[in-house]
Amino acid sequence: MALRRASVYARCMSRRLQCAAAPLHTSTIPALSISAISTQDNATSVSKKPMSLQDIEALLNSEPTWSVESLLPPEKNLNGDTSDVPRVSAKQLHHLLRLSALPPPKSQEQEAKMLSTLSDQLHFVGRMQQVDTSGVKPLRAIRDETAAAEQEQTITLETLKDALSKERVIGKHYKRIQRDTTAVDASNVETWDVLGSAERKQGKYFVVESERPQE
Amino acid sequence: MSLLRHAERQIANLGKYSHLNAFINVADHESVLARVAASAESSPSTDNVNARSPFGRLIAIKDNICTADLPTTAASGILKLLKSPYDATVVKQLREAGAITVGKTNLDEFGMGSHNLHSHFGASKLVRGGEERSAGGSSGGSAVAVATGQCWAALGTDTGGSVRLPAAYTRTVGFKPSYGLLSRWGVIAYANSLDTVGILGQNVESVEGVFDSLDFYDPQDPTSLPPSTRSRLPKQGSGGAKTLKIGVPMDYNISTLDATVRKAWLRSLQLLQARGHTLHTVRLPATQHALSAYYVLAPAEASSNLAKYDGIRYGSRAEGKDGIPDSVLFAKTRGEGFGPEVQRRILLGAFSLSAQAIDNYFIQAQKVRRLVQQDFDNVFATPNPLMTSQPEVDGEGVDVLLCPTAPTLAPKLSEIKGQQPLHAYMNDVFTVPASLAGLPAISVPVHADEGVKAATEEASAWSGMQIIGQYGDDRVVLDLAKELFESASPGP
Repeated sequence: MALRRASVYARCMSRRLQCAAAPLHTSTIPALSISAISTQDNATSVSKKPMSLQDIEALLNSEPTWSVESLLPPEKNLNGDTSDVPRVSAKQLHHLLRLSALPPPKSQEQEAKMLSTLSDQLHFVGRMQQVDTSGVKPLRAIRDETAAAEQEQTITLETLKDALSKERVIGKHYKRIQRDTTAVDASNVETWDVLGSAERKQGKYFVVESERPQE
Repeated sequence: MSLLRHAERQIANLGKYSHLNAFINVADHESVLARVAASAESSPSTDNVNARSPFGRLIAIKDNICTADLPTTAASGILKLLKSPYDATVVKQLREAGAITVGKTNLDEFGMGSHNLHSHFGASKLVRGGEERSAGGSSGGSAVAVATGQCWAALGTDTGGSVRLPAAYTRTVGFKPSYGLLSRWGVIAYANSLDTVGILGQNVESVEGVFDSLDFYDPQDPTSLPPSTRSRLPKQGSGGAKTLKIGVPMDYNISTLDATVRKAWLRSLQLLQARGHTLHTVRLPATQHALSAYYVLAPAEASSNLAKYDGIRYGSRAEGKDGIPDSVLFAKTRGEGFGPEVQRRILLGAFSLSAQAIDNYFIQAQKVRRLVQQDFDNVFATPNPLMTSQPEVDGEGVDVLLCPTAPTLAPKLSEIKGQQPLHAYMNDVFTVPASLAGLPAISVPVHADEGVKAATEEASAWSGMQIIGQYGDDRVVLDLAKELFESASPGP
C-alpha cells in the first residue's frame, strides 16, 4: 500500500510540474516586473556591449539603486507604536511561545519587548509581501527539477525489484504475500547506545521531571 | 618549509591568539604534532610541496559539524557538553585525505548571527589597529583561525553568508559551493534548504584543495546531489585561459555601500578587465526582496529544525522540574539552553508557519525565492542545469557576477554591541541572494588601493569581493577567484 502511494505521489508531482511550467514560462515578463515598487526601468537586462570601466565607475558613483535601510521600521512615536507594522497581540505571543516550547515572558516589560521585537522583524520581512507572485511556483528546495531527474526519481517496479524479490506468495485458496524473514545483519546500527548521551537516566529509562497540569 | 614546521607554527599561534576566542575546543597539541610527523614520514614526497593538498595539514572545524574526537556544541548552551558518536561525512572525507583536525571553532549559536557575538562561549573577534572588530558571522571562529595562522584551512557552514561574510571581514578566502555538492550528514541543521558546508583558507588553492576532497555524492544525505545530476554539471572551469563576461549587478550598489568597498569593487573590475575579461552591467531586481524572503524562510526552517532539542536523549537540561502548569514541558530547558537570538528566530519562524500567516509569509517567501533564482537564470549565459524551462537570455548572458561580499568593512565591536538585532540582518544583503538560489559564491580579499604591502597595518582596509556563478559552475568561480586573488595580492 505504501509503495503504491509512493508511485501515485510521484506521478502527481510530475503532473503538477507540467501544469506549473506553462504559466511560469509565459509569466517571465510580469514576474520580473516587480519594478512596480522598485525604481528601475528595465528589469533584468544585461548590457549587450562590454562597458568601459569609466562608464561603470560613473554609474556606481552616481545614484545608488536602493537602500537596505528602507526595510527598517520607521522611528517609533511616543506610544511605541508604528503605523504600518503588523500587530501581534499578547495572547498571540503566548500562543506562539507555547508552540515553540519556550517559556512565557517573566514580566510586563519583557512581554512588551518581545512584542516590539517581533513587530520590528515582521516589518523587516514584510517588504516581500508587496511582490506580485501570481503564477510563480514556490522554490521549496534546491534540487534537480529537470525532466530527466524526474524520470530517474520516479519509483517503478524496476526500482522495487530487490524488495519485491524478497516476497513470496503463499496459500492455495487464500493467496497472500509473505516477506522473507531471513535475519538482516544490523549490528552496525544496533550497537548504538541509546542512553549513552542522556544527561539524566535511571536504569534503562530517560528521566523527565514535571508537574501534572492542574485539573 | 616542511609539514611539521607549518604545524608547529600553527600550534604556537593557538596560544598566541587564544584571546581572540576562535576555538571552543582544541585537540591535544602533542598528539596533533605526532600525527603530522607520522604523515610527513609516511610520505616524504608530498612533504612541503603541495599548496592544495590537505594531506598532513591542520584543519579547523566549525563547531556545528560533528566530530567523534571533540565535543560538538554549535555554540549553544543546550549542547554545551555534547559528544557526537560519529564524524560528519565531510570530516571523515578530510581525515581520509590525510588532514588532521586541530579543533572546533567558535560561531554564532546554531549559525544564527552575522558578528559571532551570539555564542554561549563568548564572542570570537578580530583585533586591528588596537581595536576590537567583528569577525563576521556565523563562521567567525573559522575565519579568525585561518586569518591568524592557527590552522591551514577551516570548514564553516554558509546558510545566508556565514562563510563569505567572515572571510570578507578577516581578509581570508571563503567559498560557498553550489547547494548539495558537499554532504550535510553530521552537520547540525539551521535552515536545511539553505545550509551549505563552506571552506575558508588563506588563498584560493587551499580552498580548492579541500573542495576537491569533499565534492562527492553522499547517500546518507538526502539533499546531496545525486550522481546522475552531477554528471550533467560542467567538469572544468576556465583554467584562467578563457575570456569571461563579468556581470556587474547594479542592484548591489546600495546607498549605504561604504566608499572604500565601492573603491575596491572598481579596482577588482579594473584588474580583471586588464586580464582580458569584459564588463557588463546587469540588473537583478529581486535582490531588493531577497533579504526579507530569507528572514522568513531561515527562521521558519530553524523553528522546525530546533524543535527536537529538549535535553532528553542528548544535550543539557535545566535544573529541577520542567513542565509546570504555566509553562509547557521542556520550555524551561529550552529557555535556559537557547540564547536570545535563537529564541527570537524560533518565535519569528513559529509565527510565519502559523495557520494565519503561512500563505502571506512562508509560501510568499518561497515564491520570491523562485524569482531570485529566475533573476540569476536571466543574466547567466549558461542555463541552470537544475531547470528544464529556461528563460530566454536576451542576447548573451554573463559568465559570472562580481560584487562586494558585505556593504562595509569589519565594524568595531563597540559600535555593534548595542545595536538592534535587525541591524545585523542587513549585513547579509549581498550574500543572501546566492544562498537562496543555491549558487556557488566565493569571497576574495581586495584592497581598495594599489601597492599596499602585505605587512602594513593597512589590513583593515581590505574588502571582500564576491564572485557568483551559475549553479554547478563552481570551477569557473574558483578559477576567476584565483585570477583576482593573484592580481590583487601585493607584490613581494
